[in-house]
Amino acid sequence: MSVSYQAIFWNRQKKIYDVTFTAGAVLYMAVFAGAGALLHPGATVETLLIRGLGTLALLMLHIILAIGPLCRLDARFLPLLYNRRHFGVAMFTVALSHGAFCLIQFHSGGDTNPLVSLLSTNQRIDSLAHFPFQQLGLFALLIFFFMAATSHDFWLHTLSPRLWKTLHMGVYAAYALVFAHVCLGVVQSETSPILPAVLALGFATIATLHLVAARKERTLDRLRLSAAAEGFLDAGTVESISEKCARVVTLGNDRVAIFRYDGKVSAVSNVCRHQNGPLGEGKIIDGCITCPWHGYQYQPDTGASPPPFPEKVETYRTRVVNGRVWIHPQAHPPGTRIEPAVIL
Amino acid sequence: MIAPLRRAHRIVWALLVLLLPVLLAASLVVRTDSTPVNRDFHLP
Repeated sequence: MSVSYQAIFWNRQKKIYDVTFTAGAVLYMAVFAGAGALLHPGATVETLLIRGLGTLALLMLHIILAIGPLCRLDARFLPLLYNRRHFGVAMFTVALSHGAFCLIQFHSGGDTNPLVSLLSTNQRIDSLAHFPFQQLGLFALLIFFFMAATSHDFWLHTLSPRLWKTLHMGVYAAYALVFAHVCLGVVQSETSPILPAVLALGFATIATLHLVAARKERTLDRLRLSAAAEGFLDAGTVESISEKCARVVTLGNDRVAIFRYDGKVSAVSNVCRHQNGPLGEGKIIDGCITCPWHGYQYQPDTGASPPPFPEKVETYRTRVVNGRVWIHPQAHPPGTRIEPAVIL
Repeated sequence: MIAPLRRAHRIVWALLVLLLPVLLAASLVVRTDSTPVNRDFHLP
């Protein structure tokens, strides 16, 4: 959490994260170039670089796309989510390097501007086998640039988390463009079955993870609480909620996290103000609900971040009667203090 | 609050699951040997 913007708010975990994926990328390039040179002695350094950077960017994109659903399915993957934006910017840098080398290698030898050459040389959009696949890669790169340029918290707060998330769903369009770029590019020129097989396996893995995670989310969305007196809804037993943890319930279109702590129960919106992280999957640390994604904190009774932080979430009235938790579906404005229900 | 985003994710992945495998299959079907054929060249 921070009340002011910095270029990068470095901490130990971010440094470890960045060093790890940088070392992995360097190792991948070394292995790819070494193995490529051994298996194809005639391959030039430029070709090895272009193919190495291209496949590395594709691998990184798959990992980035897998992180979200993996975290929805198993909390042990949450450390991967913490600094995913750095991973995304790194992937864009690798993809940009791939594109730059391609531009130099294939479009800079003539008297035409390389970018004009890229956009105008092949216009056979009527042929699948000879489709202008390089343009597809360029369009994907433009989307990645837009995402990398707006990956900072400044843009997240300026655009609002919801709009920012919506715009960053462009990664799926970019993934489809990259997929087409590979299918209509290197798959057409290489007869080896390995590349299409790896591409298919990668897509099947990512798609399965997203669909399984979506199914899990949908199941939670469809659970409806039974109504009771005075508009309160039955949210289950107190015992079903672990100490300092929450149970997430769906009220209409909204999810609410009901926390149990220090003999009390409080309920707040499940949506973190930072990046819409699931507060109910976090814990109460130092008396505050702590978002599992990036550590944003909120007081359970007020839904407000401790001073000097300005974030606030909606709060809900709760009751505990005969060992069961009851919740009123009416949300109170963000930051409104609600007296916690006492567990007798 | 974010239910529309979740729904959009589901729709996007349903579309990708339908479209991308078809694209891959089609690209494999139309794949041809890109090496130019030299009709005047004959192995002994």
